[in-house]
Amino acid sequence: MKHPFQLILSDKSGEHLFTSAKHHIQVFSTATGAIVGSWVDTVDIMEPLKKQQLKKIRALEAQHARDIKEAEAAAAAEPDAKKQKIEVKPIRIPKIPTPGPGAPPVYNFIRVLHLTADEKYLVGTTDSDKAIIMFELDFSQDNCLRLVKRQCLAKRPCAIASSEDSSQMIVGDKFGDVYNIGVTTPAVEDLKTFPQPILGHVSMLSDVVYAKHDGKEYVLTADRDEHVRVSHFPKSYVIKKWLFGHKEFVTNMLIPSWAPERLVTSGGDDFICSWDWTAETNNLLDTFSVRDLVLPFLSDYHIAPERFWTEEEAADRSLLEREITIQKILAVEKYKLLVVLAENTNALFVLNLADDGKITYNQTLTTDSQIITFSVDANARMYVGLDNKDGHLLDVYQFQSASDVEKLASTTMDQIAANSVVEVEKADDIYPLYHAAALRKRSEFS
Amino acid sequence: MSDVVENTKEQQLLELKDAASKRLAYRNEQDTKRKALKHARFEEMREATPESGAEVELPRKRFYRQRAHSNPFSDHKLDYPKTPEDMNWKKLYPGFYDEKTGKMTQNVEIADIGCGFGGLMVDLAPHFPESNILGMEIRVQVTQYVEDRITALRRKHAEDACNFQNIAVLRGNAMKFLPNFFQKAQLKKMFFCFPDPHFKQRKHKARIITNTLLSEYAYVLREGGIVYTITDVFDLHQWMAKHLEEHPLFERLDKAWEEQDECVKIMYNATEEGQKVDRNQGSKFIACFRRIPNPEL
Repeated sequence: MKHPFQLILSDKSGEHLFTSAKHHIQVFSTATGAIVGSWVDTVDIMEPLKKQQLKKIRALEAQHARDIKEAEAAAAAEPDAKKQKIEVKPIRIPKIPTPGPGAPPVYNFIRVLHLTADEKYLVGTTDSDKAIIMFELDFSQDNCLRLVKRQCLAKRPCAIASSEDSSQMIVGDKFGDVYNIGVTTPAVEDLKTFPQPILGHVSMLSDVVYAKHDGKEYVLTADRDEHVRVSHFPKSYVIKKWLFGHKEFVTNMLIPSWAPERLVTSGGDDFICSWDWTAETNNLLDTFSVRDLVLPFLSDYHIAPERFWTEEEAADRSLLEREITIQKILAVEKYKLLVVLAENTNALFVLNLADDGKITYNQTLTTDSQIITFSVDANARMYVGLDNKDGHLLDVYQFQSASDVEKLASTTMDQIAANSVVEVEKADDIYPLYHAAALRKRSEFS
Repeated sequence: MSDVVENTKEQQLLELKDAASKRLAYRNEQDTKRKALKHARFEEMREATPESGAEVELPRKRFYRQRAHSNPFSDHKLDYPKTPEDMNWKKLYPGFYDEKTGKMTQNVEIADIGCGFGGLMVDLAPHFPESNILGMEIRVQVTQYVEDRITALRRKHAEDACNFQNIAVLRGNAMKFLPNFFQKAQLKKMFFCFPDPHFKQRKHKARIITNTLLSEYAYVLREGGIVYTITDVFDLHQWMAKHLEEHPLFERLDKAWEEQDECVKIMYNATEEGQKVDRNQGSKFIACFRRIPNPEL
């Protein structure tokens, strides 16, 4: 059984589809469905723990050696004492903690894939050693992916952007820090000598975007609180402003290519915000409620975990609300449209983004299976990754105009799915596919 | 014999419980009083206490004690405005609210981050009548103490030149939500007095001064604004000074400046933590920094 693709990303031309499933990255040709590039993370998931253990052992050994010396010195200082024994406890090798029964399973998968603006590099993250992996793309080779740098970080990276010239990767981590990592500079081994973060939130980062306006560079960051921050780049210690409007976590930020001063943001709120992020004041141009659009597609999956229910809700389950999480928004550049995916639904909502920033409804597309992720190329073709057990993992749509979308026959897409090497024995072995809803905060502390 | 031991143990337990419930009862009582008084307007309050307020009792600190540490990363149930414009300052500084225009007549320009029991604010209040001073504290009970203390001071000194209308406290996480309260360049002074040292290396991000947070402080501080730091932990002093010195938007002020600055004097002597250090004959380390203009961007 084929493992569904957790991430899919097309290049601008739509010739190639970059995908990930578990810890595999596979690149497919959309013309033939053939694999043109692949990479597997071979680093053991226990690697960071092993490193930690080694460090502890070294420290203990050093301490042990010092203890012995001290004991010897003490013995030498008092030669008269009769029963003088050099007593130093032997080192106890620290154990690598292993999860006990009932512990949540450990997964190892690629969380983000990012293609630089010039499409020279594909950048991803690993779970095993919390690294940023950078591949140079060369389609003249048998395997188009050539790993040029693997940089471990102290905390798990979870958002990637790149500078205009693709020389710098701007990487946000789970701890809220953003690092600037060069592509050509050698990887830093000792994390103590790793450069300081260029900016930071005191909250998990969910998205990082690089932007340029009026000849100046900026980096936009969004986090698990409701903050969206605009900082200058590379002097990111100068903050331009915060964009206030969200009430819940923000999962994605989109700057449409046809309107570089616009910004569309979404996340755990049941609305989408449209901004002029460059203005000094009155940045929020529109909020568009997706509530009525999304609600018919939600299921009991979208109800809060039981431990967060109030007594009334537990007594009367009809009080429980289904929560909306917008997982992704992408633009269809050619027709100035937005496409919105609410997590774990089988619908895509097409919206119009007017020049004044106002958002209006266009149409809804539905699929047979739940949608995991999607990608749009410059020719207005949209690739949709499906949560499907029968091997039908991809749908493809073509926007013919701003109002006309056509679902294409997907023989090459089925070929791509068939060529994928990531197999599981049974449906239970499929990795969790929906992660964004877990970002919702449920304040347990007073 | 063992019976006696058990009895005393039980008794101790009872006494402990009793003390705890006494503290709780006291706080509950203060709670009711606070709710009745907190949002009362200045003039009304004066009417309510026609005497000079000799009978006004200051809250007793021992009923509000709370563990000195709080995890700044956890998601507390916090009340904070969606934007700085949404902040209702009238609630905190009723004396400076103009009913006619619906605006505040003066704004918060001084912030005491992690104000603890509020000693610094109380001492600063008479020196900065033209600025509102805000204390931010993450611990619930400590915030309540400061609230009660300010309410009592306002009543007690209603007729005096310094009536403490320009100081207030709110419970909040300054590391996460500072920009929700203050506009760009709103503040002229920020105080960081005896912050939690977070000794462990892996906890260093929890410190109140980090290179990434300093950018946020630089955002809310105006050019020429001052950051004051004081601590009794030498390591932390070095850490704070190092990070501020390294930050491109701050410059260190020298000893001569420190000696002539009134706030340094007040900070050195005012806070409860500072007085505790004096009692224990510890040292206090000070470092002050000026917010310099943004570079060419």
